[in-house]
Amino acid sequence: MIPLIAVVQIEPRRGRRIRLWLPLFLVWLLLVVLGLLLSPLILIACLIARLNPLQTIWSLVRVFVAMAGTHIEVQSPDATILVRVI
Amino acid sequence: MNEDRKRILDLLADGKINADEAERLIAALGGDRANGTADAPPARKPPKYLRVVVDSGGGYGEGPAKVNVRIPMQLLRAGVRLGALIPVQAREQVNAALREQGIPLDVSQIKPDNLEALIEQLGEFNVDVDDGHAKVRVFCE
Repeated sequence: MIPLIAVVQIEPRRGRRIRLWLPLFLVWLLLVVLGLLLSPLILIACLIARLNPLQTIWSLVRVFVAMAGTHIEVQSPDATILVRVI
Repeated sequence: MNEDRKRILDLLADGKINADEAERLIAALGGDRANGTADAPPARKPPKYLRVVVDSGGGYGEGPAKVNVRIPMQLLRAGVRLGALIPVQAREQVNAALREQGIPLDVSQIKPDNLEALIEQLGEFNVDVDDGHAKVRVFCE
């Protein structure tokens, strides 16, 4: 499943707690538009590197899709940082 | 075909039991298998996540710190597929850098098929380190 939201939470021992819900589905939309605009450059880069452009794009998409379920949590005496991809 | 099933079919062929009875007996055998009493071990599910848990507990004098990382195995698979796209020249450079670090690994040999076999075996993988100051645990779930 495509990751839709990334949660970034920073809790310093002193100071304000930051909690961000990043809507990844908007990032995907932006990436699609950007990819279309940059497609000629991507194609040239792939040809220079002797890569199959479709295979390259598909592999990158797979990496993004596979990020769903990632959970990184670090607790230190100064702060707690949590990154979750849902 | 296992021995019990063969015996039931022999009984049916000899006319000692009828088809309904044979069917019931075979179904009962199937139930036993579902309950795990059959000889074959149940299929093991491949792990879905790689977990790394670190608990320093303040043993290193910098205060207690905890790290809890969960990486989906899908990401590992996708990474290997992406790695297959590395151009040959770059791959040789990576291999040379790894050799310099004392890791004689050929990245071109890491293929999705090999990775699947590795991931299946990772279900049993468990690294547990406790040096008195910190605990590190790497496992799959």
